[in-house]
Amino acid sequence: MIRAERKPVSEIARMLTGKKNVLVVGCKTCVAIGHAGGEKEVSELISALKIVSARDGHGWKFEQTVVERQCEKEWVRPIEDKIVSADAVVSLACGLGAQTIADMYPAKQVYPGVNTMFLGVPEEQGVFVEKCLACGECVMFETGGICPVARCAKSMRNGACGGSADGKCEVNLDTDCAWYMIYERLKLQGRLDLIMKISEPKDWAKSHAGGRRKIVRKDLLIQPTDRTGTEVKK
Amino acid sequence: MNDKLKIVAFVCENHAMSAIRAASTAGESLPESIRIIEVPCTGRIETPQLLDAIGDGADAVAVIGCLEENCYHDVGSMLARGRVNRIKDIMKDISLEPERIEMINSASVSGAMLMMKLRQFESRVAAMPVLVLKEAIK
Amino acid sequence: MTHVSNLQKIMDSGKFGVTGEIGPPRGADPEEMIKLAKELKGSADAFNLTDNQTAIVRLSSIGSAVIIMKEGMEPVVQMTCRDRNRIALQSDLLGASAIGVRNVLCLTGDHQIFGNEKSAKGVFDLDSISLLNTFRNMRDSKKQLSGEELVSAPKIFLGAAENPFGTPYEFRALRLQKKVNAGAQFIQTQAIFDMDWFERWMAEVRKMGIHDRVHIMGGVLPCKSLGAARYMKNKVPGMKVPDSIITRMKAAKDKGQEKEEGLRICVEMIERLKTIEGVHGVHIMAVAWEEMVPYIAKEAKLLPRPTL
Repeated sequence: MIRAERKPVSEIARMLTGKKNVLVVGCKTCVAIGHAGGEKEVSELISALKIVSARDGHGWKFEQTVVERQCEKEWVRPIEDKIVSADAVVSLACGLGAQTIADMYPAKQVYPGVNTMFLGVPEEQGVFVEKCLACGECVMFETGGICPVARCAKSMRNGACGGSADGKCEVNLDTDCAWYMIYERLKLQGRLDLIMKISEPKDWAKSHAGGRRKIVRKDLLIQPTDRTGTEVKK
Repeated sequence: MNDKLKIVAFVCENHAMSAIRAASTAGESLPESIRIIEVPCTGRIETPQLLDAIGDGADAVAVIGCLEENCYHDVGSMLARGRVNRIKDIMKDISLEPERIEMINSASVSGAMLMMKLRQFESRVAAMPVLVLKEAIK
Repeated sequence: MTHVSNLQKIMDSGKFGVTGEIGPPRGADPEEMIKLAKELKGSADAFNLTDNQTAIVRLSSIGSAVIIMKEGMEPVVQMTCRDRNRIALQSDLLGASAIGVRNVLCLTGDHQIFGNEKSAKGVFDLDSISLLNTFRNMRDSKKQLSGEELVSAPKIFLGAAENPFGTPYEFRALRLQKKVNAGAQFIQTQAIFDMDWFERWMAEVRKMGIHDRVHIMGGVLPCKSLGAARYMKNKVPGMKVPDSIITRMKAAKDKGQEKEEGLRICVEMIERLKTIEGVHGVHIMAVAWEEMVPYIAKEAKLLPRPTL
């Protein structure tokens, strides 16, 4: 899921200079599971900011809350009163949640309390590893189920590079070389022919490089019709 | 020198509390600055509580639990250590001495050693600049 | 296929090819490179101009090519995929060909983390294999990557790099074959110190029949000092330096003859390369010691270079 890391408390404190009523909003989904922005982390941030306020005389007054999924307006609307009465909102949700609040209440100062980092899996308790880049064109059916875009530092389509040594990536010796893993995986599956295939360069137009992306599911849109059942343009 | 020292000690009711009681029975008393808060297990303590102790006016916080290899609740004091270290990082970030919070592990029979560690902790904290809170937290 | 470059002509005609390497300066003044070019002229068939090697900003490879071509030398322009997307890469190939560059080495490129602009966005739109394929199609089919036809095709002799010491063995052999399939006409290898290992790798290469399809040029690098040898052994991933080399360099250091021994070892490597079936040339990488290339070439009996 989406992985985030809380910004340093000092950085958040600087954002709040001159503010009085501060609302800290967490989210119960990705950031809660990742121990970065759930209920506990909201309390922790406030406890730390209270010390800063008490020591430096900021006079901050804190309100705290947490919503199910901050990226959906339906879950944000119920806390509208709290948002409206605050003069600063610190969101501990990922960039999606923070922007949902910011877009719904454009006159409010909404501050990001976390740095949204990547799409990642928990490899072991406390260790989150990036595995998907949301590139818009999944090719892992050719690479034995290992994503070369996210897991290779150079996003190679025909890897490994010359810097791969002893199965490790040249950029970070703690990281396994994705293409070494792909080679081993394809060998295991008896599909080494895929390694020999010269893969086409990636279509980056399908990734963020092509611009902000949007999916429109016509089947899910609520569209008015006239009495005959024909769709009417709104 | 800070002579109105307040140190909050979260003490697990198992090996840590046994050690303190044993030491008291042997005539060794707790340093004056230390106020004990007994907890079922140090693993139960969450980070906001540790920060709030400082915010409420404590100069320092000690978290006293079982030895990690012999924790009464298996991984409690290990989890506590992780959280104490997280608080140390936050303290450093907001320009407070990370040494104001410490994890101390004790076997139930090591009362004397525990007392000595607490006295040493107290002197270290006493030597730090006084933490002045301009506003009341609550 | 007609020969487009002197380097190609020499190796295609069965002669042992020799390339050197010049690392461009970290500045805009071409003076040093012009001086070096005059010293090195004639000591190799062509000279590689590295392309922001290890992601350190240097005078560009194509710019360097112009400088040495003015001195009458043949360049091998290196192109990495780290700094340019497919538009720039194809454009640079047309530009290089237009100004007379006839040899291009296609590389994926060292990651930007190694260089002096660590926050740079690494492009990596293509990799060395799709780059080879793209350039080959531009030359042979007069077509851009997108399929659109070019007005005129570049004339180019295509090369790639390979590391015989990378692991796993079989994977690296497949990679070499893939590079040849993608259009590599010559291959320059990583510097060789473990000649036994290299000979085993060449046996694999011959078994796959690759040696007939591509000109393999063994890389050599003269050690300037014991420290340099140790650094390569311990700090450079994918480099194999046997203990025997370290022992020799250490003994030489004790006699105050490090440089001589380093050069001697380099010449020995070249002599052995000449005897290996399937090796069609040598690539001399005198890192931070480029002025020694003429000496090395002479000692290894590679001079004078043939003119065909």
